[in-house]
Amino acid sequence: MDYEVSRKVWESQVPVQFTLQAGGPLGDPLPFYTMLPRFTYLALALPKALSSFNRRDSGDPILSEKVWLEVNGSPVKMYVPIGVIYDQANLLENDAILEISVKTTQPPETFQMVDPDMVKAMFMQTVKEADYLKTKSDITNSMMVDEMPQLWRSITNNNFDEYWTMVQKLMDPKDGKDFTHVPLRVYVKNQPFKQALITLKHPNGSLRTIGEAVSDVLQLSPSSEASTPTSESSASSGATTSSTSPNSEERRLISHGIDIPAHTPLIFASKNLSYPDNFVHIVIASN
Amino acid sequence: MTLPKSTKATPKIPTKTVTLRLKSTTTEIIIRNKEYEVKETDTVAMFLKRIHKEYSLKSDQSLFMYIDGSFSPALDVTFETLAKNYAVRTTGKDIIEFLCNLTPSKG
Repeated sequence: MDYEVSRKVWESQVPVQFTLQAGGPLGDPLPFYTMLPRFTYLALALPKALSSFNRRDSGDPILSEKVWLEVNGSPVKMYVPIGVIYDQANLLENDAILEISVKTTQPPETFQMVDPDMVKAMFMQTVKEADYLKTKSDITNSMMVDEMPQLWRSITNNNFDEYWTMVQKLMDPKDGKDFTHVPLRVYVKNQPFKQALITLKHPNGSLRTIGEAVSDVLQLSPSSEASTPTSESSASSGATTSSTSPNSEERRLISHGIDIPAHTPLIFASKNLSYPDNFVHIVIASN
Repeated sequence: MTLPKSTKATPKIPTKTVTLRLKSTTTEIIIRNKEYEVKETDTVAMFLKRIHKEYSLKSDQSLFMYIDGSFSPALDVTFETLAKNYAVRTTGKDIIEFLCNLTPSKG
C-alpha cells in the first residue's frame, strides 16, 4: 500500500448543500452547507443538517425518521459512500456542489431510511464481503472482536492514523498471498451496480488493468449492455430513461472525482483507491 | 393436420429468474418455503420486504440474510449480480443459498 496515495484519497472532500423542503407556514430555513469526506455516509451527515434546520424557533422539530432525501430528482441511497453519490451526480463543473433535498412528504418505496447504527452494520457487512472475495474471509475471521469496530470508528472520527493501522491488515495479508478476487463495483447510469468475480491476473500471469476489469464486469453483466431499465431503476426514474453503457473507447472511469487511467494495474487500484468498505467504486461516464 | 391454437395473443419475453434456498438459524422464524423463485432484476431489499410481509414480521424485526455464513449482501444488489458471484451449482441450475437470522432492530 502507498501511504501518500491512501492519505490523499482519505483527505478528499466534497461540497454538499442540504435544502429542507417542508413547506412550513414561515417558509423553509436557509440551506445547510458543509464539506464532507468522500468516505463518509449521508446517514452520518444527516443529523447535523437537521440540527441546523431545527435551530429556528418556529415549528415542530424535523426528525430524521420523518424525512427522505433526493438528489437530481431521485431518492438517494444513504448507505453508499458520499464520494460515489457525488461522482454519480455527474457534476460537470469542478467543485460543483452536491445538492441534497430533504423532504418531509411520503417517501417513495425505493427510498430506504438508514440510521447511523444501520449504516455501521451495513458497512461491516460490506467489509466482510470484500474480504470474502479477497481471502475467503481469512482476515476478518482472524481479527480480534474490537478490530472491525475500530475501522468504523476511524470513519466516524475522521481519524486517518487509526484507519491506516486497520486497512493495512485488510489489504496486506500476512501470508503474502494474492487476492483471490478483487472487490470492485461498477456504476452505470440508471442501473443497479455491477459486480463480478475478477482476478488480479490474466491466465498468462500478466497483471489485469482496471480498464480490463471494468470491461469484464460489464461483459459479465449482460443487462448493462441492454437499454432496458430494471424494475428498481424504472421505479425511481420514471421508466423512461435509457441506460446504455458507453463502449470501452469512450468510457471514462471515475473514482474519488478523478479519471482513473484505464491502464492502472487492478492491484494498485484495489490497495490504494478502495473506499474504507474495501471496494473500488468506479462510476462510468462517457467522453 | 391442424396446428394447435395458441392460448396467448402476444408473445411474452420471459423474465429470467433466480432460485433462492433459505435456511433459518433462528427459532423466531420457521421458514415454510425453503425455495423461492425471484426475478433476477429484483434487489435484496425487495425480497426482504416480501419476506417481512409473508411472515407478518413487525417493523422492528430485522431479518438478516447471510451468504455462505460469511456476510450479508447489500440491499441494492440484484439477484442477477448475486447469482453471478455467489451461486452454488449443485443440481444443474444456479441456486443462491441464504442463512436467515432474525434480529431485533437496535434503532
